[in-house]
Amino acid sequence: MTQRDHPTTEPVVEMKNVSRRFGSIRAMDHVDLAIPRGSVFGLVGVNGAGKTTLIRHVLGLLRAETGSVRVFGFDPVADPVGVLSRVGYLAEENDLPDWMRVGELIRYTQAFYPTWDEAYAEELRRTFELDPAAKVKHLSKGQRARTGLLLALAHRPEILVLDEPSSGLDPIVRRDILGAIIRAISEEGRTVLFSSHLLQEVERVVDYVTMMHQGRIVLSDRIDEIKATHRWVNVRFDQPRSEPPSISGVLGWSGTGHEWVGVCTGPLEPFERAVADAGAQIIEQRSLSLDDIFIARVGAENLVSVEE
Amino acid sequence: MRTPAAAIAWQLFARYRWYWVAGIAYFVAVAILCQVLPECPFANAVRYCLAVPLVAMPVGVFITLAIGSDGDMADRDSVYPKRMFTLPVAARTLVAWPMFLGAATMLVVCLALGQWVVRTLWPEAPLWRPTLLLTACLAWFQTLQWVPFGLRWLRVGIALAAIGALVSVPALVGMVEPPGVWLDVVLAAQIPLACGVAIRGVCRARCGDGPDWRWILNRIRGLSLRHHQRSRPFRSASQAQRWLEWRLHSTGLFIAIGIGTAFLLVGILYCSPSPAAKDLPIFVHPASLLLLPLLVALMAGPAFGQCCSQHAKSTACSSFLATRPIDCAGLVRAKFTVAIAGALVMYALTVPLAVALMIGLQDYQGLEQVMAHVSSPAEQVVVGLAALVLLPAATWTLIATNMFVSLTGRKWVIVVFSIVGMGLFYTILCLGIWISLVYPEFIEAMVTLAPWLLGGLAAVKLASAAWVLRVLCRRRLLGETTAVRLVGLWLAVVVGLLLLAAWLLPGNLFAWPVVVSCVVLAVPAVRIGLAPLALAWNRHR
Repeated sequence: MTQRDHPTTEPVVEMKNVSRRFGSIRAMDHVDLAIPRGSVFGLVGVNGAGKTTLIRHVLGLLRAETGSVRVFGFDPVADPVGVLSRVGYLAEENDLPDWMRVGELIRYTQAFYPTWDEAYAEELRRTFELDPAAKVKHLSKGQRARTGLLLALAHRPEILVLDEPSSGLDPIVRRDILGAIIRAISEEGRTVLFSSHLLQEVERVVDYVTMMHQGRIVLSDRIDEIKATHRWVNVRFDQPRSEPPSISGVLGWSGTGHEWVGVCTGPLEPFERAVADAGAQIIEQRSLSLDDIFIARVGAENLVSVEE
Repeated sequence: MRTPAAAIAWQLFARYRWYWVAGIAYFVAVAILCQVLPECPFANAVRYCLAVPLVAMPVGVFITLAIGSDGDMADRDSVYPKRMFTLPVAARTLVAWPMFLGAATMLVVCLALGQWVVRTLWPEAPLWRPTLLLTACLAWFQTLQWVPFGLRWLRVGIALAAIGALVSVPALVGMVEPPGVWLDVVLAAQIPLACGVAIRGVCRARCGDGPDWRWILNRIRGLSLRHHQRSRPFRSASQAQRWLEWRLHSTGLFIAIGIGTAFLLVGILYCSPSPAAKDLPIFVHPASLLLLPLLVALMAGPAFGQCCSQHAKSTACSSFLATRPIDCAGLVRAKFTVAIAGALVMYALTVPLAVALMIGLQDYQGLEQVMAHVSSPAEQVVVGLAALVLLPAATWTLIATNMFVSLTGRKWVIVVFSIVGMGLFYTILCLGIWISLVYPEFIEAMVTLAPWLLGGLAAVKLASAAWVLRVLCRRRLLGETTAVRLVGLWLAVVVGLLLLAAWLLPGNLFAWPVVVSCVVLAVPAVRIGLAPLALAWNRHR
């Protein structure tokens, strides 16, 4: 009996208390994550935050030291064929075999997927203007990314995993990749997990965002929820201050004297009361972009600048 | 470093400095041993054993001095590193110094090897001519690496033809009449000639002025495109994987067989016609070509086990391969199947050449010695047929059993196994020599104990194989039916070999427990079983 005979309402990907060390470096630290079916899930973080490590756990390329990883309810290490045949993966390093021709690569990859859609693959090849006789090593970076994307999409995977798919690529290739994600969403039951540090790009397409920093998840929620609960505020105090005020729900302060700016989280009313109690008033407040929220969450040293 | 020459020399040698230190240390040790070894019945056999790894030294000169030897030799462009083209020096500096260093190093290495190792085995061995020949080969190899070509693979074809001609023409001339000094002059003249061609080629490559003959291919491009469109899909994932493995490893096998054949041909064509050839080792007789695939297999095993991307710095399994929806046993099965094809192809190439040379040179050394032990014609036919099966089988075994180390994808495992394996081999060899010379009575005692020792080793092997099989089944890397089939196949091979031994071996030559233990030890089991485990360890880190 195949796995597909058991439709499930469980999350497509579920990680519980997963930790992983590489020597003295803790790459993942007690990570809990659940990716709902049909969602577009963005994974953001600075370089070395643990995004690729998390994705490699999902694909079964890394074995969890502690905790458990389940994809479609199965362990990707114990059952790689069952999991990987339902996953489309575009790697950050895009290590396609250099010596193969595009046509050979398509023919080779096709053999592994019973669900391979030949017409769709050909359509993608034409859209991406890929020459089947061209060798992979002679392709530009953008063409390699397009080839990798074709291979990831053509078997119509249930989950599309993209690790830094648009890193270092030109805007046209980035558009192609985002287009593919949107197309995958529009088809029923597709789930997309993608990591990036191009946050504007993430903001455009995701339903859920998880921010990682030093192997930990610092924030994970729906994008609209995250944006609704983070605000930039400019506060003016009656008396000049040499140190930042202590008000709960604020991620960080910046300023001197009377005027201080900060990023606050949570409901607005308790914050307004706390500001009034501290002898100050809010003179300006704005919603934040995902970029700003990310910097406020993980780059706490300097306060964010707000897009005018 | 004050001069470009010193900087170039440092760049060439610094990368391989530890290999050179190890090589020179080994050479000094072997040279001393060859001189001081007391004469005994097997002293020359020991000298050969110790001398064989020194073949790596001239090969090392090729690898070290041919700048860009780690590049793609099939490429159209010069493989001279592009970053060096931006150095503020003339093209003649970029070319002449590495060539001078190459020629000087090859002269020193070959003369030292010849004088202190080869001549202890063969006092009349020619010294200067093989040295000049290898130096000329290196100069042309460097030139062909650095000169840009108009088409892909043209370099490989021209290199094979040029170096093949350089090796075979003097040998063929020598078969007609003994060549005089003029041949040495011709060989020495190759070095400045190659240098001139290389300077011209590097000048052109430096300014991107390489020839472009791709229009020839463009004519047949339409055909090629149609071919790609017509290619049928693979029937299964296993077939696709076998195709990939064949494409990855077959070129390496062909190149290794080509280079090995060229090296052996030098010895065969030079030495085989001489009357003293009968006393020379097998390496200078056509039958040595039949052993070449075994030597290639020894080196090909680790290469077959690699799962990393080409040109990757890491030895870990590439994510492209690791994310294919095929289980580890399937990936290993594809490698094993391709190893069978590789072994058969290597023999398909070497057997006809060996037979042709044997007939042409009337040199059946090696075969005569084997057949002398076989009495009846029926047995000779069986031995011949068995050799046809057993030689490719042994070649496959060497490839398959040496895969598991590189399948782990961990550099430290590969280094530890290489050092421990070589160390163990030479420790046992040296210990054996020392004991046999100092305490010959100990050897007699060991011969008496041999059935017990071999039986013990066979028992350890069987126990290890059973444990590996259990782990494979427990981790679901192998189905139970497949496990039963594999055990059945292993038993069938063992029984077949025992029957062959029972028929061919004289009844009183070996005790049966010894024969059974030897057969059990010879048929691979544990390391074959370790291959999927090693790959799983590499793939799921």
